[in-house]
Amino acid sequence: MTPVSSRGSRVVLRAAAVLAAAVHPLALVAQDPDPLSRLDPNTRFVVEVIIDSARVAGVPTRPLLLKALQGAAYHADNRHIIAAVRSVFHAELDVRVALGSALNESEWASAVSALQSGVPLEALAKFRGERSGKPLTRALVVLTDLIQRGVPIPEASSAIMQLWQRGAGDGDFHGLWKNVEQDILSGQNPGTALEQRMREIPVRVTPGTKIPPASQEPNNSSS
Amino acid sequence: MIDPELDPDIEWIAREAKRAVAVDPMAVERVMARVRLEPRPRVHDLRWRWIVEPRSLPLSPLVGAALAAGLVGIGILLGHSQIDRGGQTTPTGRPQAVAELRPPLAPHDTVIKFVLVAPQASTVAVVGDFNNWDAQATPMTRTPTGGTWSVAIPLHAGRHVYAFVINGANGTTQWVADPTAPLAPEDGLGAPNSVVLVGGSAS
Amino acid sequence: MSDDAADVQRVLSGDVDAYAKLVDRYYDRCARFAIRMLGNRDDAEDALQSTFLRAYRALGRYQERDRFSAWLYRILVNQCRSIAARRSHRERVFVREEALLLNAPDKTPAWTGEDEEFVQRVLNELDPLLREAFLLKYVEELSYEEMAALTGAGVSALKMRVKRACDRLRERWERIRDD
Repeated sequence: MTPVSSRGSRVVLRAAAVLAAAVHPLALVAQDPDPLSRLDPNTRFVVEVIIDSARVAGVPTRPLLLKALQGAAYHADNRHIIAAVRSVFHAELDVRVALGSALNESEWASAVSALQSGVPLEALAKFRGERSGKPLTRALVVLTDLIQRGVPIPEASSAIMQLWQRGAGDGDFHGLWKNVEQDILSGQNPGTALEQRMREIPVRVTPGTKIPPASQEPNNSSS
Repeated sequence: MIDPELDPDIEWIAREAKRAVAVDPMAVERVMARVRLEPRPRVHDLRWRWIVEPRSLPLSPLVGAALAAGLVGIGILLGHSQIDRGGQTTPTGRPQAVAELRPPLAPHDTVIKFVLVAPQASTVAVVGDFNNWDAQATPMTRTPTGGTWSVAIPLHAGRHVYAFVINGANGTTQWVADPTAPLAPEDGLGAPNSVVLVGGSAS
Repeated sequence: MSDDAADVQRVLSGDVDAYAKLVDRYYDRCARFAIRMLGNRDDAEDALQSTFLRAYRALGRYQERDRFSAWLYRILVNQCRSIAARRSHRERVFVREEALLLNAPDKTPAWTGEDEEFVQRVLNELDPLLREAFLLKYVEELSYEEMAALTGAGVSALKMRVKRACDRLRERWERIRDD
């Protein structure tokens, strides 16, 4: 058995749990009436105050609740749970500065993630402005992933911004991601992999060209 | 070796900065405690990518209508897919009813099938923002052939974060991301997570 | 085969405890970089845990032709950047939360002696990218080529950063010394 250490680290030990009979899986839509009860009382108190602060500030509160629940599920240290929730809150304040608040739930979340992965605020702010037809969520998800995989932040930000400005669609971002991911898994240097794959993308839209509404990318362009 | 062109003050700063720092003697132990909870790393070989990505399966119009009419508990008709070692999916023939109770689906939900190959596991569950990270909420079912676990979940359009929680026969628990999906960011919790974008308003 | 590569092979063959040897070999040195870079022990410890965990997960991608220390340091540098970025969010305190800070654990400062404190203070005042370049060049003693491979920045950009770091340090030093 792995010893439980006293300071900070997450150690999960669970005897093989007897799960509720899998014949009747719990309904996904039905919510636990009090999900925060999974936290210890002191941690819960702090988290609730942060959520309240977010409500007062007018930024989304659900992501904060979810972060706390994720921390509880992962058996993270209370200190880390609080820090993670606070970090999401502060990131949301920054997202609003960078992009405004006219974002849907997914755009908020992916923008927060981009900041958390280290994208500077100024770089995020470049996505502001005319976004109709453009896949902001997808672009930021791909950007965040590439940075997690080791592409240096400035290179990743600049590449995604280039595609964005060129009017790339959901499929283009997804295609780029798939290719670069494969290359990195095959051992390529992440920055080099991105650079090479970027060169393969045909420039379909030149900067400054207005995209007429009729040629919007299809919604469900999963590859 | 200090750069001979450095002025002596900077050289002093560098020398001081090079001194060893006091390190908590238990630090390495703590790292190893976390490492032992991880799945074993393996040499990356693209042939091993049979831990499969979530598949998006559109609802057939009939099913959509039946569910919209509020008929809870009807088995959802899905194309059932077999996943082989090469990562290829092949339909097994006629759609099979998946005998699971599901609440009514919102009209814009898409059913996403999560699949994980984990032959050593005794139980596997998906956790994510769609089930409040509740490891009891969405257990996966093992296929008759043994090594593959799956579950199909209706998700609304947009971005979702998730991971798999694997319980081994020896009582250990692992939290793993989906190796073929985009990574969620490092967020201070240390948990590895994946992102799935469900079509529709994913843009 | 180097010790590092041999230990990596052992881990990949199933000997998890062989990883402890790698961690042991590099922990102190990485800790020094993390503490100098981040300026406090809590953040440094988070960065170190994260780094060694990620390195473990990515071991399958390590190739023997790379120096293990360089490969590990790329992860460490990125983790430190990531934590520094998160920290700049943390430091913006929202008014209603201030009462809670009384319950928050104190950030353990990194320094133990006067000189070390002074040096850390001076380093903390550097812009993060400059600090990083200075540490990699003069504490880790890497060549510019190694630094470029590690950070993804170009050699001339790095030389510029190191030079600017030295200039700033000189300014700070003079100002502090005159206080």
